[in-house]
Amino acid sequence: MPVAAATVRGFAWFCIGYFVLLNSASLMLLALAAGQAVMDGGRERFAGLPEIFASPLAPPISLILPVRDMADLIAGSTRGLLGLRYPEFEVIVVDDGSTDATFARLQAEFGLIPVDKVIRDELATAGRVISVHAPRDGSNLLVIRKQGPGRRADAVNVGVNAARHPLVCRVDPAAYLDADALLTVAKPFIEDPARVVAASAAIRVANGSRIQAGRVTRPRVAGGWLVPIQAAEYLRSSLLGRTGWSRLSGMLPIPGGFSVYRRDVYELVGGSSAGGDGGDLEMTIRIHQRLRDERQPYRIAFVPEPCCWTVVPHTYRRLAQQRARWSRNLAVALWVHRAMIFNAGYGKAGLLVLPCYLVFELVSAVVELLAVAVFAAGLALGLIGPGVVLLFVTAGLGYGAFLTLVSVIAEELSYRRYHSWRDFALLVYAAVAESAGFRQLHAWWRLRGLAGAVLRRRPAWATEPGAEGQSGPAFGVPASGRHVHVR
Amino acid sequence: MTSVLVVDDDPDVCDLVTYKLEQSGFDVRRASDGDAALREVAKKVPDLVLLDVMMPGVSGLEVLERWRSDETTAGMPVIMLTAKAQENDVERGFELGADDYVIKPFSPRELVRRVTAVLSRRQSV
Amino acid sequence: MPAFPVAGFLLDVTGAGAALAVILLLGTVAARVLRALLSGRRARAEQMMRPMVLAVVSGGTAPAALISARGGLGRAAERIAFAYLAQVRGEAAVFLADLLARRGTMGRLLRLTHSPRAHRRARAAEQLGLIASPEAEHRLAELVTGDHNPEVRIVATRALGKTGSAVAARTLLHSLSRPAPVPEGVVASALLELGPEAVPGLRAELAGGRRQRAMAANVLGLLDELPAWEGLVENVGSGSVEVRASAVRALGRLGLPQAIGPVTACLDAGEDPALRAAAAYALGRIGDPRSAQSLAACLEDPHYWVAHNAAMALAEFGGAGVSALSLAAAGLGSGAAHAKEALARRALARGERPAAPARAAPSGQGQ
Repeated sequence: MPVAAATVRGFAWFCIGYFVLLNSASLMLLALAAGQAVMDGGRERFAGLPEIFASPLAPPISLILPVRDMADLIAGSTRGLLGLRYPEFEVIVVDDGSTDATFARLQAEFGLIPVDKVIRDELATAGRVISVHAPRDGSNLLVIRKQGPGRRADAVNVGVNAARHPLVCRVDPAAYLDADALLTVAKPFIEDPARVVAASAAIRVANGSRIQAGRVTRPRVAGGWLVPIQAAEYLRSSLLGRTGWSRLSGMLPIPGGFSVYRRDVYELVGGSSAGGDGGDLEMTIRIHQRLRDERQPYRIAFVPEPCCWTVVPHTYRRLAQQRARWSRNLAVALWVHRAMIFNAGYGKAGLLVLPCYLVFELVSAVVELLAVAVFAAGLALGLIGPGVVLLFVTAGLGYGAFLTLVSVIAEELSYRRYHSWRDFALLVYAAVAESAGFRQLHAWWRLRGLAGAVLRRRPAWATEPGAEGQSGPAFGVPASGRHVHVR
Repeated sequence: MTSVLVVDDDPDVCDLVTYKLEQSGFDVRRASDGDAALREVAKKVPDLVLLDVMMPGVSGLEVLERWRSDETTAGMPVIMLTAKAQENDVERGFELGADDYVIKPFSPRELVRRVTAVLSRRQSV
Repeated sequence: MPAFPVAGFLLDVTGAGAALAVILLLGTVAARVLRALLSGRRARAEQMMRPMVLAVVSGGTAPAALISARGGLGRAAERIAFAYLAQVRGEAAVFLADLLARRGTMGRLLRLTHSPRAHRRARAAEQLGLIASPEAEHRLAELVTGDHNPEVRIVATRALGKTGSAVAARTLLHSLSRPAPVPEGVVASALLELGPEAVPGLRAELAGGRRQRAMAANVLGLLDELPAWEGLVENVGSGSVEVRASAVRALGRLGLPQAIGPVTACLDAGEDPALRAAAAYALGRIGDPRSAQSLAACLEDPHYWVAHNAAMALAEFGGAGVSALSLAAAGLGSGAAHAKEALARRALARGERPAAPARAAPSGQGQ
């Protein structure tokens, strides 16, 4: 019994130590970022956005919208994209084997007619392109009907293969972009065209906001439990994403974020991967790896101004699926690129960012649940004193709540997108509520995702539109091994 | 008095244009987006419209298209307000039947000149 | 138990943390309340000053109240003046700049550019740019090359672009030669905004080091600087692919038929595909039907962008181009697909109905 007692106590102290370490590291980054965010509160004035809009130097962008069975949303979404403020861009909608009226709606809304289009095969894709359509009035829209249902990554790759412009951006149908979003995210490319290969922007939660003509006109936080917590989470992630990480140029974007890539680099690394939800996370790691291997100077920029709003799941089931999926993707990405971890050859991405993701994101799911189990058991069996439990609650959970609170306050003092007292109060409540139950639930979901990755299990769910139906890595291989000059 | 409708989502631009036009003797109404513009014109057709091309929501070009397809407003003079380097928008605007365009940043005096020029052109036709 | 002192310490820390959280929260609430009060006051001040500033913009004399306004009213007046300055040019801009000069704003801004806070320096630089006065140039140039904050340097560079002077152009071009204090793209934008003043320096740059040549060619093309065409042609023949392609694209933008010869030479099968694609694009922009034959030969090219750009270029030519495309479209092989796409795009742009595509989806080519 003494052995068991010592083990339990050992674990208990390990958990406490782990959380203190994790939270302290986050606090350092958050404090730095928050400080800068608050000071930059008026920075939007320097953005120079009107000049960019008028500038012929602004690189044209191809927006790619992969959809499947989204008849209700598709017309509004596409209209919203076409109305973005940017000197030159095109919208490519890839209809990945929709079984409902998605295409019919598009056809009616935009007067689509079939046209000839040569689509490159630069990026390997599964599923054939059936037809390509363009609006009769000649506006910058292209609708590609593809044989499906495939993985979302394939739809994205088809879109990139059809893209005309040097920058590409995958847009999530569940996301609302501000009118100036493209201007905001294109800024790094204009300022530093030689080095910047990708840029991502902060995203916020759209649920509960007032939306007019496909734009968020008045951000608000929806009521309830899950949505405010996610709203606070996104604030924290995007705060962590700025300064702290992006200075390290080892920035890994938030899943489901809004990112723009240079098309040639996107093609160089083989395009979207099936295991990654057509996603940004694994793509970014691959870019780091490939460009380091090629010894090309490069930079991945992060733009902290919020310009993209995403609709987050508001039911337990959907949220559980989403978080399990993210966890699985992260695990798979880290596994595939395990050669980079702790490898000095990959600079800060390899030495700092990836290990941090491994230890603090992936492993934390296990430790969170372990902590709950250990402390519950320990308290029940009288092996751990209530003082130690209290210590865990404050140092582990309370500390976490403090971090989220700092993020909420930073937002309040800098960007101030949420105007009402109610929103502020909800976010503060969310910061506390997150640690009181959500984190543990979240850890459970992440653990399931992790287990799924380890066991290579195919998830039974895939009801979210556009979600890839299979698990397992099957990364796109470039059609040619051509070397690209990353200037 | 000749009535002018100014449509622009930037309140500063609206202020400047409104003041200058009123100083020059016009009766000015304002609208800050496409929908408001459509409503104002539906209430009473102005003698001329100054229309910002890039607006959130319904874009200026869409609004122009709607006006041109409606009999009551098909002949209404329209001057586009556009940012530099928006050749495509300008071309499209002329295709849709705009009378002239003014580039932002603009000179208020020149704007008034253009307004009077377009109005007198229309009257002599 | 050895763990207890540690536990005690950690509990103290967490207690302090909780107190800190409460203080921050209360502070934020207070900040919010304060901001609401201040914004109300701001709005009222602006409402008072706005009519006076509008009168000045339209050419009226500035009332004494406007010139001597200080404190909240003074700040409101200047905020409004700068907001309007960003929207107007010509006479109105001169009136506003004059108003600000009479208020002594210039002096204040120049002093602010020495502020220890980067945010203030940047804002002052931005506003100096809006006033666009030659007096400020020297200080802005110093900020571009000497300030240790990158954001300030960028804002100062943009501000120099607005001043419209030859001195500014020189500074901007010089800033490229050292380990660049400012990203190339920002300098390019500023040079573009400077316009004609930047041209002599840019043309000189065409003979300079590699990176600047590409950027200089790019900007000269965008500025529509026709006399620079000979310098561009010189750069078409030799140098890195990037420089040559930039020069070719610039020649395309200038649209001079004299350039067809050298640009067509870049279409040669032995050249880098990126250069050939740029050449095809440029020939389309120049729009001289004499290029139709060389472009038609590129339709069958295995490199996607060469064939694609050639097809799109032919579509710009009208008669000669369209017949070449129709001929190719009737044939077999990859060129047919590109030709059909170009014809379809052309039809849509002209408001006509494009030909219906063949049943089988067009397949791509490598690269």
